[in-house]
Amino acid sequence: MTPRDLIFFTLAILIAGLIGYLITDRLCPRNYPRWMVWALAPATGFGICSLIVFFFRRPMTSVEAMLLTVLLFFWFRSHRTSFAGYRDISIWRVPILAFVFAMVLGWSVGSSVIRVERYPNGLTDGWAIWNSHAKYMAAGGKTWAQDIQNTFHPDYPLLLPGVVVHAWRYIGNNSPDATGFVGILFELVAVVVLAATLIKLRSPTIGLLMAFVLIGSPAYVVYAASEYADVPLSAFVVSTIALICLYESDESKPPGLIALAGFMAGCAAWTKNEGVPFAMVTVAVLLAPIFWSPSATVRRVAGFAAGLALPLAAIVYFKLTIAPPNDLFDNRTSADLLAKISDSSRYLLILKSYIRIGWTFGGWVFNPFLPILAFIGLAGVDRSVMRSFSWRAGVAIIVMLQVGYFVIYVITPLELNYHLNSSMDRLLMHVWPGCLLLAGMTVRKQVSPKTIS
Amino acid sequence: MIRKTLLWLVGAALVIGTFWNLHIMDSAVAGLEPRGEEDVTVIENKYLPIEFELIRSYPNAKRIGYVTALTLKGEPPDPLDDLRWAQLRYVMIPRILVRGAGEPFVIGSFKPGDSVPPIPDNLVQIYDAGTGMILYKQKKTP
Repeated sequence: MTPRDLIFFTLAILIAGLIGYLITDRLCPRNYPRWMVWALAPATGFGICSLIVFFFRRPMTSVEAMLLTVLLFFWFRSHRTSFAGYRDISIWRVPILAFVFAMVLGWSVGSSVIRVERYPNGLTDGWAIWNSHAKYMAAGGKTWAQDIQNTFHPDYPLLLPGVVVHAWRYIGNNSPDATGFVGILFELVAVVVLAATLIKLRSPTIGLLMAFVLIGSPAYVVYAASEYADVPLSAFVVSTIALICLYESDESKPPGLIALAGFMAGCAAWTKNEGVPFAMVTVAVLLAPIFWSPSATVRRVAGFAAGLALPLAAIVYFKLTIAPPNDLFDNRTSADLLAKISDSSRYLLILKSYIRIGWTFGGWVFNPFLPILAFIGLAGVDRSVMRSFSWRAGVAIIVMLQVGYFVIYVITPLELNYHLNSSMDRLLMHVWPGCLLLAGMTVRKQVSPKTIS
Repeated sequence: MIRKTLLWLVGAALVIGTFWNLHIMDSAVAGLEPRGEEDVTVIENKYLPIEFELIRSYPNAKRIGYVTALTLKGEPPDPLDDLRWAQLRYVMIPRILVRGAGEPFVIGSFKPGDSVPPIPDNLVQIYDAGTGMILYKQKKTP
């Protein structure tokens, strides 16, 4: 990527980030720290920009400019320029852990940038699916929706290609490196959301330690730079669970937070087909307490549905007008499905794979599972958190999603061993940041920066 | 006291473990082949002269056929053949690459240096990129 391309790529990302910030700012409570709003802003901005590309395509920049103008107008009307929200950053006694984390983050990003330079088109899924879709969206003319059928998996949703096209439009060419950089940014989104949420709800040490574990998962970092959509999906999954936790932890139950959670869940579904069951189980889990606390549940689900509406509209439109049937469900007979469902050896094989790949999916040399468990055990478990609706909801969402994936493996038309070995590690990546968030939530708050630093 | 010390040690282990994991990943990055030798980039560089020829002489050509030595012999494509076809299909977007010799324009992809097998009678060579890729045209195309 030339310096000129890099400048325009940065501009594209700043515009997406600013749109995301202004929307997140309107939805977060006024007393929320600004750094928390900034942490949630990039995911929101990427989601919005992708939807703008999909719905408007050619006049994308005009729509973005209009949206930015309106958002800035309302922002200036309701805000005075103030740094009050950042005050708590300046009074932080930054623990040495934060400096070490910044160093590790810089190292990881540097390594990823080199990987993108060497493999500008990404690995197979990157060029064969996501970048192919982006190229047709960017340069396919009026027939792009038909032309995209000449790619692998044209039924896959278009959030990631949309964000790539957003960046390409500002750059002025289809710079392949931009797609890898977008992948790295989504990885950073997941890391920042994970750390910021735990810093706000638990402590800086817990937030940073869990972020260390995520950034120290080599496969996660490699998939991000290789332009796979699993990392962006995981960023939206962790953002959704984080926002549900933030909403439930706030006594005023700010509707904006749960609406933002709905938007993130919708963006997850707009990223990959696996995001659709995620959004569905999230709605089901949020709806579950309807019988014993109806008014709170209705308020929660209504806010969530409001945020979900826009990405859901894009998905429905895409699935009805552009996407062909999914290869896992097309031309299936009930006899074939029944034969697979009644074959117990398939269940055993999937379970064995879950155990085997579940232990190694991060590509670790140093496996963090036991140290995390030891850390939680030594720091003490906060039972009140484990009894909270938000924590239980997060766990239920992840468990139900995995059950859904399990069922898909049972009925898959592909050779089972091949399907398991080629996808299970990536499916576990989807929930990995979310698992770290929920693990961090259980740790007692008393673990102070001093303890580690 | 013991508990705090253990907690400190476990936290330190997580941080050091992150360094270790990143070190291994970083070492793997250092061993990656140069950008110019990456598969898709190689295919792209082989194809570019044909793209320039298409832009110069036939800018509206959208669907392009694809044949290889294997398919010209009537044999099914092997996995490597499939991979190269998929890579070229990606590189050529927004043009559409389809297998077979039935389109108005057809690209023949061969190993450089190998003799080119006899092409179907309906095709006429219009451009040899010198990279192993040859552009053909249907004889009846106006």
